[in-house]
Amino acid sequence: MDQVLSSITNYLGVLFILLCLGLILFYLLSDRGRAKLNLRSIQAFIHFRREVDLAVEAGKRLHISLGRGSINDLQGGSAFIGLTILDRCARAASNSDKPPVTTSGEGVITVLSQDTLRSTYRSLAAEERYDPTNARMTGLTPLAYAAGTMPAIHDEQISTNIFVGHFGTEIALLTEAGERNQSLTVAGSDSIPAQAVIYATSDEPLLGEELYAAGAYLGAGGAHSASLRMQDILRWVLVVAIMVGSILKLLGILS
Amino acid sequence: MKKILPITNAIIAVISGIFVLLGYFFPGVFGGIQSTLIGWAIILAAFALLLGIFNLAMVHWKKIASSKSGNINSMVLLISLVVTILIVSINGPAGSWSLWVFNSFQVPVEVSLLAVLAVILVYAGARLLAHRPKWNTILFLVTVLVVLLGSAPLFFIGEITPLSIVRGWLTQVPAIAGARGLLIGVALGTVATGLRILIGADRPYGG
Amino acid sequence: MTDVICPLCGKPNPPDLDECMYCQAPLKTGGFIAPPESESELSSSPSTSNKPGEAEQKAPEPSASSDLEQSIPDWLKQTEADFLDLSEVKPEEPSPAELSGQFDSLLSPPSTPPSSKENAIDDDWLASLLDEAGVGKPEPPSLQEQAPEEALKEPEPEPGSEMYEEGANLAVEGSTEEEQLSPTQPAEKPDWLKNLEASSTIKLEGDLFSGEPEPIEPAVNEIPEEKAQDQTPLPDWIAKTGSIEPPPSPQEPAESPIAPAELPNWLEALRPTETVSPSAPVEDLSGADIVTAGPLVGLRGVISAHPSAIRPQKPPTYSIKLRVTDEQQARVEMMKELLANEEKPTPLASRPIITSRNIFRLIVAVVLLLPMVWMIISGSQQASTPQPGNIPGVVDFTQQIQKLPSGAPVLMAFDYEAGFSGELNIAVTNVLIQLMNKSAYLTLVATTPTGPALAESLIKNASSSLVGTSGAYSNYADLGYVPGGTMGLLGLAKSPRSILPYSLESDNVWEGAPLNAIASIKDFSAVIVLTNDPDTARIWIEQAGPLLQEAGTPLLMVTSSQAEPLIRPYFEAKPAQVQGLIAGLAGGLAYGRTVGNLQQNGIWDAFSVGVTVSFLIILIGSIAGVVSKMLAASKKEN
Repeated sequence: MDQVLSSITNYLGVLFILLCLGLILFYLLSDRGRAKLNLRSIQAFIHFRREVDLAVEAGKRLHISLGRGSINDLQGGSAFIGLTILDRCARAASNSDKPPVTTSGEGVITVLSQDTLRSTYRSLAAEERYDPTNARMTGLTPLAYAAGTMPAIHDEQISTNIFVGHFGTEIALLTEAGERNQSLTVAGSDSIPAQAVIYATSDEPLLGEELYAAGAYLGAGGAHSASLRMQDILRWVLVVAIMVGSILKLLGILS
Repeated sequence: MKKILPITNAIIAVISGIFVLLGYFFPGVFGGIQSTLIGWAIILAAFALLLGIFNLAMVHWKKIASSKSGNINSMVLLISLVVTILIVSINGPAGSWSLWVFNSFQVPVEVSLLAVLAVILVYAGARLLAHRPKWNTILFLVTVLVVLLGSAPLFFIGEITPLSIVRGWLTQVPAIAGARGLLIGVALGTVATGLRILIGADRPYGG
Repeated sequence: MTDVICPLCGKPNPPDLDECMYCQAPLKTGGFIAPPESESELSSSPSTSNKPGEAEQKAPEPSASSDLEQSIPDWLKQTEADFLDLSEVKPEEPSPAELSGQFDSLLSPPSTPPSSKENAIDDDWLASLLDEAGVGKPEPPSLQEQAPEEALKEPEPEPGSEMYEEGANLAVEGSTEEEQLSPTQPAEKPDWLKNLEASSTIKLEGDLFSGEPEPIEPAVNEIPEEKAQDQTPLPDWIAKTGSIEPPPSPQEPAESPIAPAELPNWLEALRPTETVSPSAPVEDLSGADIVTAGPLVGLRGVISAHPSAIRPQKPPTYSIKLRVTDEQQARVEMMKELLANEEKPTPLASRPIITSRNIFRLIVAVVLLLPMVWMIISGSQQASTPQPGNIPGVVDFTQQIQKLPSGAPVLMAFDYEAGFSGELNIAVTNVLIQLMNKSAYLTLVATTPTGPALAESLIKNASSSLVGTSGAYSNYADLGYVPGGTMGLLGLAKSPRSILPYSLESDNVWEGAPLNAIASIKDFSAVIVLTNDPDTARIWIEQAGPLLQEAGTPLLMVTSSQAEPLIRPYFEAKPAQVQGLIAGLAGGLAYGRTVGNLQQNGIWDAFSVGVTVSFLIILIGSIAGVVSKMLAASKKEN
């Protein structure tokens, strides 16, 4: 039994990864041509779409802040979601007088956000609208990043702030700046303390996995919907595994 | 070229990601490639830091050149950046002047911002129930108050032991359980995001 | 002076004009109307010989006479008849037999009484025909045909010798139904009858009366009416023709030499309507120049064919300036103003700086910060400092530090932000002092950009507070910043030499002791991570923990209060992944109490009063917010 468990433990990670990959590919191929996935309503994304349209009509900007997470860390996942949202916002606001502005607290994310904006405008045949200074790094440390982002919220006529990425408790400074500017704040982070602060200070919080569902809700592609379904399945798998492990531990089978 | 480059980027990203991932599970076979690729990633991350600083300088330089409002702050930033680079370059990162700049400007500013953060959090907590009148909010506020009371002895009252015990249980059992659940969800999302990039379905690198 | 009636359009024209001023038809030439016959040339009866061509010319005569009869109103006919009855000489209404005789008289030259004037026949061909036929000249007692020239010469006829005769149109149209009045003296027509005839649109050719000739107007052709002296057999269609009343003498104005033509009905029907009638000019050409040369001479308003009239010349230049009236200009200005207002950005209403929210925020800040500042200033020590036994992890941390041998290499990761210095510096300083007292070789690294500077600053502060030492502590190596986050940490854990080969002073510290024995992170005696971020702590635990656990190297952590709930399970796990934990200000003070370096600078009292005030603000603010909302809701309902 122990040998079985130890061998499973050794290759558990590979099995888990393969299972996730298989599920994503399965749903990606099987969902082609099918109707749109029926998702539960998340208030933040409903307001998000409305605010994007209002910002375009009012001639105001969208502000997307990607946080300070590095793609070399676990925090990179939330940064990639932020880049996906940036792409969708840039497309939605492509005909706006004022293109969206994005801020970040990490060099690689800054470069990637510039690249995302450029490729988005290129795909819309509007490459002349691309301005590299619309994607900017505002600080290297968390509080410096917050201090550098606050003027962008005040000065750029922002109508909606979207904070998606890795933030710490310093996000309270950003949401407060958004509230002072009377602009809507939609915030989501992978950090637990930041989520507590977001719940208290943001207009539309994204808690837990809701952040990672942004791609599916905003129509970023079939792969996002497929990975969302994979997450739903694996969540139940993990719940069952935790319960089974707890029972085995209680029974003394697991040491 | 415009069509070849995105495909090339995607191929490089996918192959690199697969080798690093396999290096975690099969270190004997893919360990060397993994270490090499990780070394390259660290160098690129350091260079990206410099690129971010350059981007910061360019943004503020454009602000000064466009004569917009607030360009005086941009001017101060650029001057500070140049002066700090000069001082640290001359005095060294551990030099007394460098440390004086750090201790005189960086530390007090960040500490002040954190103090402002504390005020903001207290203010947000005070108007949370009026802003979002739900049962979740009441539960949230009760938890906040219990943890606060158990963190330190109340002035003029002293430490309330039961509250400390409740605080300890609250932070270690339900709060951590919820946090673990959130973290598992975050981990699943991160895995999904990473796998989307590995199979080339998601290309944040502009491909 | 009487106007001349245009033969084409029928409109009156001044008598001095040669052309009609409406349709430019000649007024003085024959035009459609044959000139009136003179009295001398008037043949009373047309020749009956039918020569080729003559019958054609004679053919229209019956219809002309019938048209002439139709044009005369009935009351006029009756009046004429009454008048003639009253007069001595009555024009006899010929019977059908007499009609045929009259026709014969038309065909043969009429015998004119010596006292009657001879009506001239314009048509010489008719006269010649009559001569050939041996018909004497007709004796038109009342009918006279005058050519326009003869009309000029002819004296005014005697009133008593006036007779009605058929007009010259009968001769032109070839009517065989000619009345030949008796050579007796024709009855004199009254003047009003003459005037009536003159105003008629259809005028007879020549003067039927031997009266006042019109030298200018076209002559009215008159057909002498005489009895047919030589009765010749007439064609049947002539015989069938009804009685021909002696046509009234045309009352020609004295000035009209040419009588207007009598147009048949079908031709009248072809006359264009007024809107497109050629008689009505499109534009008033009265002011146009008259062409004086070329084929269009005499016409008005046409382009002269004279070469000199068409000269190539430079086209006139026209001003391109738009002619705008004052009203239009005013409207343009109004439109410009409207558009300019649209383009002007509407200035945003400036938000008031002092609002209720800002005031509330200010009150919260003052109420929160003032007592804390007072506590620090006063150095209050009212609140009891935390006991190490009450803070989980502090005792274990202390024990792990105490277990370290002297001069042992210890890796310290300064991964907390400068802003958390106030919370963590107490604990970090005490840890550094403890390690310095053990002469541990401190290897400083950082995964944050500000970490190396923070480490250097703390080392200097800690070394200054060492007891019994002079100068700064030198038994350390600051390797600097590790980029790459988790990847950099993984690389550091596996091979620190390759990731950080040099120190901040560019020294190769790996060659000297004790670092020359360090191949990986597990070779250190202890790893102490100083961080405020629970994610950073988790990364250290997950990346470096397995390697450290293999070698039994303790992983110790100094964290912020916000990270303590997430890191504590790692400490409480079995086997523990974190062997010692100091969390927050309470942990730092408790550790200071343990090592005998309790700081009594009022910081714990300030923390205590801050917590109390925060609790009160949140509680009172929440209650007040709910009550105000309920009151507002009830007001709305009311």
